[in-house]
Amino acid sequence: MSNNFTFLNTSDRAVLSVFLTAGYPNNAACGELLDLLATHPAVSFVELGMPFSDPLADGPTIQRASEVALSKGTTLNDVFSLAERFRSKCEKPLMLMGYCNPVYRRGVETFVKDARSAGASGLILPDLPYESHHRDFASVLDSTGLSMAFLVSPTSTEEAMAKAFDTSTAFVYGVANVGLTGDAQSMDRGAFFHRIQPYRFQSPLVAGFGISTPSDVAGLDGLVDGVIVGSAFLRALGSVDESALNVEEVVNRANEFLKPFNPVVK
Amino acid sequence: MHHPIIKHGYYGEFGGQFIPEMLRKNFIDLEAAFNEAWGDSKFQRAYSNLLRDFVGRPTPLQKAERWSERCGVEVWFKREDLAHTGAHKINNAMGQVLLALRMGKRRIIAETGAGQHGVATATACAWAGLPCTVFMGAEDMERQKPNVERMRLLGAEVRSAQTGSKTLKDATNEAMRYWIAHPEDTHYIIGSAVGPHPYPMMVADFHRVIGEETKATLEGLGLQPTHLVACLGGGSNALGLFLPYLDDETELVGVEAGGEGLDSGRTAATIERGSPGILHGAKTMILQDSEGQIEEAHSISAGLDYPGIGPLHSHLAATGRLQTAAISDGEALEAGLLCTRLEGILPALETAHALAWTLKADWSGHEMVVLNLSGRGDKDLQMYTSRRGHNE
Repeated sequence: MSNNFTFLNTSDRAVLSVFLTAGYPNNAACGELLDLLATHPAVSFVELGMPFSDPLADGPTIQRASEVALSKGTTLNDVFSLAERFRSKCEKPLMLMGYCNPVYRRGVETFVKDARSAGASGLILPDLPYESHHRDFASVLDSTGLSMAFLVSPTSTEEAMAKAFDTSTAFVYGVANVGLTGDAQSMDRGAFFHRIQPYRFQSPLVAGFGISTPSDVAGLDGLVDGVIVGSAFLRALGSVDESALNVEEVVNRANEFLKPFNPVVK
Repeated sequence: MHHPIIKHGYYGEFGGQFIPEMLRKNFIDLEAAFNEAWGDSKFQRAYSNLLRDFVGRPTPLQKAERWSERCGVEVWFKREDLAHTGAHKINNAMGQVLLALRMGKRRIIAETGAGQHGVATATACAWAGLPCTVFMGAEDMERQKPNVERMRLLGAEVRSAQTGSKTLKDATNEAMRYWIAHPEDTHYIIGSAVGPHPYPMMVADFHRVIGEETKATLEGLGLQPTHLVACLGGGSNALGLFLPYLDDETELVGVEAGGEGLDSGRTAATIERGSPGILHGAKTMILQDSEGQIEEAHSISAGLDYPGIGPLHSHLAATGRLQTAAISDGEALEAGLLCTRLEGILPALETAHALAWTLKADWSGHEMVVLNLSGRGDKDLQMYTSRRGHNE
């Protein structure tokens, strides 16, 4: 089931997905966090962020996490090793999320094949245009079985909403605020997710960006199939000061953060 | 769009719109509004009146006698340093502010490197009565202090970008992030011919007046230049001069910032040393490592300190229409000082790169060169004076 998201459609409550940046707070701790997420009953799937030097759509928390990961020398091969580790522990879907340039730099076909053999389920590349997806990605994704998620946002046109549901093979990623990852809520989420409903077709709908608490999740029940928590999870890990970094402590904090989510999701 | 060179937002293999969905609608709206305005004679008239009455256009085209003698070739300066606020940047800022007013936008944001575009945008916003926020790298704020003060006097808020290399690249990231969070009421005035379509061509169009004036003046004199020379950071002053000459036989020379040397690892020579990639929403030549991470550019000139270049420049270079060269920090400083002594013009450090190339190039003596004197160098006084102290 690792690259199949249809289970999202069949659950009656929104499931929880966690985003974390590969190599953050360091490679060892990230590996342990993935082990936790692999076995944690509240977590249905995971997004592993591929750190990029210029993350345009990310707020300060994920920017900082990317910067730390890159400063520790995290490479795409490290991302794939972490993906393999996760895959060896569970069958939960694993999305790789990042920006176009590192993917094109490696070569789209090589990247997709490497990602697939590392056990990844799909990709989220927020800056990838549909035309480039059709030209450069579609056929190799198809032949490897890797899926793709496109974004819709409160500013999306109706045409764009229809296109996202038409093209996404994993799920549609609903941007739950006007702003960046981790930004505080400044919009009527319910209204936006109600506006999306008529376009929902086949692909499940997952909400992310600025979702941080169990009550955020509860507020979207019935409107989405899942939610992604990213910045709030990374913030909960606490200080990343290398001298004070205690992997066990980091994992404990992650565990604490996930506790209140248990009753919310199925 | 009205340019035959553009196909679906691409210039050859370069360009495009590599932007998150949150910005998509802004770009759809912007392209439609620009195309409509550009084709509207009322908008054109308002824009040219503003260029004449507020910016002080046309700028002079001056034969630089003593510089020519020194180079061994006839060199004319297109005096963009005499445009209001001291650089060509004001052409684009005024054009985009007019467009923003037309679109009903209520706030302007911009990024700036050397501060020239920031000053131009703050000026345009003061003129239009629009609030303005300028994002500037923390390091650039330090080395271009006078321009920071000017922007503040003009009523703009200057926000420092603290991420990455703390220069133009990071200021651009911050401006785009702000736009993602404020898509409805804000217009983003990009300061160079970079970024997602339609910015590269729109910014170039707002600068094409530079080349049009040059061409009209020279044709009036019965002259045809053999070479057009301009410095390349993002590349807006170069495109402004080059655009009306794209179909002529005139050679186009873009001079990049070599920094401490092309092989020093501390350079901003994007076309000379870069490779195709995606930065700030466009496919173009960029400085990147083997992992596709963007590398820090280095140049003594804050306005050229950028690891990308306009996609149209990448296309023109790839097809052989544009030739490029790199000039080091030291060569630029020396050329700037020399120009001050020989011509009585203190040029911006950016412009000094183009000047340095005309000193170095191999001339037969029969050529005729037009150099875009893109800006004045008051903002660089500190670097010039310390170099002069060092020389003496």
